[in-house]
Amino acid sequence: MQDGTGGTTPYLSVQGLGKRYGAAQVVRDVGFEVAGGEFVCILGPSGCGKTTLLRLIAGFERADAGTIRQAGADITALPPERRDFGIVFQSYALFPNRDVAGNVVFGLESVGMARAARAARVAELLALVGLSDHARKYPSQLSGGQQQRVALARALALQPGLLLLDEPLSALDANVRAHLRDELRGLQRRLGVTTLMVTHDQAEALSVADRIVVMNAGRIEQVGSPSTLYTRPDSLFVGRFLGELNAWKLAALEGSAARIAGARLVLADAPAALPGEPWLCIRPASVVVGGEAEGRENRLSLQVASASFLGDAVRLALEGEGLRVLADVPFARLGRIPAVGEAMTVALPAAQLMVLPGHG
Amino acid sequence: MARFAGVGGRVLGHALPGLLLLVLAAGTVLPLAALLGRAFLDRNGGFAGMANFVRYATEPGLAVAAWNSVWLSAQTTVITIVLAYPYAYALARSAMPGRVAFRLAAMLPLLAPSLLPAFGMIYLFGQQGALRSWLMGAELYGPVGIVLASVFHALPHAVLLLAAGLAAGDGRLYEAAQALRAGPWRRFMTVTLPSSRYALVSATSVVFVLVFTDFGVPTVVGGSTNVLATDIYKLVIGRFDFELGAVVGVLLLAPAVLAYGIDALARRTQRASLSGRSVPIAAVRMPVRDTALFLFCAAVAAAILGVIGMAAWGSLVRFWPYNLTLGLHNYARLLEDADEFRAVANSVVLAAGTAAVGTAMAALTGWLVARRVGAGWAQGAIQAVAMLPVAVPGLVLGLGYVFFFNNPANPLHGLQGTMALLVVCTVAHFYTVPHLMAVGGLVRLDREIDLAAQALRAGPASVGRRVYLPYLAPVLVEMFGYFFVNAMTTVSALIFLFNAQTRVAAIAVVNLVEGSRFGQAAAFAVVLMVLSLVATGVQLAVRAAILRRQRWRVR
Repeated sequence: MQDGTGGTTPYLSVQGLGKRYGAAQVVRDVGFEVAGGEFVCILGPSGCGKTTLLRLIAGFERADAGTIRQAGADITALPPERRDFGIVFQSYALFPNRDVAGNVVFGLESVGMARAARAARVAELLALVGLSDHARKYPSQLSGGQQQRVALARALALQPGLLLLDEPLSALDANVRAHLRDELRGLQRRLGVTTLMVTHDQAEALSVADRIVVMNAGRIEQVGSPSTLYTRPDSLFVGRFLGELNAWKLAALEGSAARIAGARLVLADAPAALPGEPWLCIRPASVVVGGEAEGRENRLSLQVASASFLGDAVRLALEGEGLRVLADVPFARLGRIPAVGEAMTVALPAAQLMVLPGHG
Repeated sequence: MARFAGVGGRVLGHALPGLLLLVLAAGTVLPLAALLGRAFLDRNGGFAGMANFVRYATEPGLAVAAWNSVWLSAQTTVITIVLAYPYAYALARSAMPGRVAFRLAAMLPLLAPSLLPAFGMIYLFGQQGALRSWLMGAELYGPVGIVLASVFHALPHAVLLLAAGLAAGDGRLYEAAQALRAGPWRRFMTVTLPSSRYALVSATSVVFVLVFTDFGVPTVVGGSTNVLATDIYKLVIGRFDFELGAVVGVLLLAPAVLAYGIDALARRTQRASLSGRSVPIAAVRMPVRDTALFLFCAAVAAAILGVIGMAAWGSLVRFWPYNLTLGLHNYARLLEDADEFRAVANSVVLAAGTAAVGTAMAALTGWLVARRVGAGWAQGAIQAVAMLPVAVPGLVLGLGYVFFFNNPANPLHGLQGTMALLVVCTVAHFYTVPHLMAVGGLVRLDREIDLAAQALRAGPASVGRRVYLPYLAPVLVEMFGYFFVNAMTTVSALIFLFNAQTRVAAIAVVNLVEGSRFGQAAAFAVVLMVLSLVATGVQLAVRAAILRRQRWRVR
């Protein structure tokens, strides 16, 4: 389950962490490591325990089991104010009665920094997030994106060793979100601050994270780099959560061939024994359609059931031989949107087929 | 939930809520328990079972007061609601002119003790009253006077509750009804009335309990008609029959507890029917309806101003009804007579003390509950105890204080007879509303603010000073004003607790009425009302100044 972090001592290490509220076990036996300077996303559906995990690491909740070590020290029992982290909340939680500079300076006042040093540090931080011209504005006068930057500057003010981000982009419009996502990533790289971000948005996690921790029902499903998780998920859950996926229940395995519904498909190699029931999966973008499918293995003759235009690609739903196959085909290659009922040849390349354990 | 560490954390988590809970309980739960206990004890402290209740029911002339209380309160409630509903509707929903002025006129009786409208009644309809003939031969002193004066006393409360309920309706329902071709009358019957059901239930129970437990009105215009609120006073102060006093206390408490239960039930059903996405209602201009409502409101407002004006006029008359020359001699007496001047000074001290102590405490308990600070058990217990006073009539609370603090075994016995005890009692009596104001003010602030502050190494005291205090400032001013005005005008709880040194002006009014010195009593009442008016004006000005200075608030 765990990826090594290259042999060096990890900056943050979580082991066997557990948390229950009454009868509900919200986090169970969670363990992973984060190297210094790494950007790690905790990804999962709502209610999977990812926010609780973040709050355990921040110290807002006390763990029932397990240990959290940061920079070599056991911080499991420390209260939040004695830990070394900065945090950005989903709601930003800006102090409404303080202007931008007042929010950013809050933590510096808490630790008793001298007035002149404070002013210099605030100016530096505001420049960092591009809000130097807005220092005297109040949160209610700022856009969502600007508020998010204030929250970020405030969290970075005390130069924390660890930056925690709790769904920091989810309250923003799609355009602003994509823009700030890149900015956040750039800033993190520049400062080299170890960062842990909770999100339910797989596209966000895939685009910013060095590594992703996928959670489901309080447990870690898989830890790995974005490309690993996308192309080689360990389970049907991870595969589906990271993007659209064709998944068919496997009727039978015949050596390195798989039988699903009415079709027999060859695989690149014989799959190992699996813990759950086996599913045969392939990403829609890996499905080959039309002329290019000719001559390939695992060819199927299907009819177009629906076609939706996605801009750069067309998503086809194709049916026949007892199967329903989703295929994302570059629009440039098709040159047109196929009509419903049109017959098409489809190939499922053996190298792209995965057999994954799942529960339907 | 905020979690605090170290010694400070333990203090916040358990000691602070524990201490607040103890103080609150000593001011509310324990005196009430003492009163309930006393109702079931005999003179020597032995268990008496229902013997005191049997004695009360069988002694001639006592039980009839219970019937009078129920019957007169019921009549008053019906009349008050019938008048208050269209008045509130006009304020909240119509486009008639002068809505602000009408709202202020309806609020005016809140600033004076309930005795004031009763004086107005005497000057209007008493033996020598200016409009005596309007009663068509009926006697003012007795049921007629109690009902008439109580309507004026209760009207502001009913109007406030109903107007708030009517203002909170969902505009989309009206658009839907209109789209479905419902005419104005059908819209009123199918949308307005059902959506204000909760406010109606609430206003009805509040008015009933208010009248049922009011001491001022029946004291002034009750004549020989006995009601529970006056009987409890006579039994305790006149006959020193504490056991029967406690029995009457229990009877006075009963409808309040019942109303509290009904209210809680109605609130639950209401919550289910109101969706979070409702759209505010815009007042629509309907000339015929608005004209009719305007005339109605004008008549009611004129009656309120007339009654209060008559009391004010009475305070200026030299010797009503024989010498009607106007002058300030009744007021001059207040300044010349040391006892009476002290009463006014005491009122100001009581009001200021109550407001200061009460606001500080309610801000703390509101903070603990709203921000979920400290141990969970303490938050629940504090909320429950803070909600209790709204269901406890002042007379019952006051008598409970007598039983609780007069007990020599009580370590707090030393408070007895001091101004401090009057302050404690008044804080407890009016605690619920300011506590809820503080809770309401603080829950609106983002939950994650506490965590953000903690992550920025700020302790709770520091967050309080730097974030909560500025945020809550305008609400604190309102809380202060609420405590101040109510402490200024309350009689009921204090009637059992005062002595010559601590007597306040509102009590002095009762004493003067007992001595039939109406002119001076009216002058006292007017002084109280003017002080309350000034306090309210100052409160509004300070609040406005704070809001103006806090540029960060969304406008």
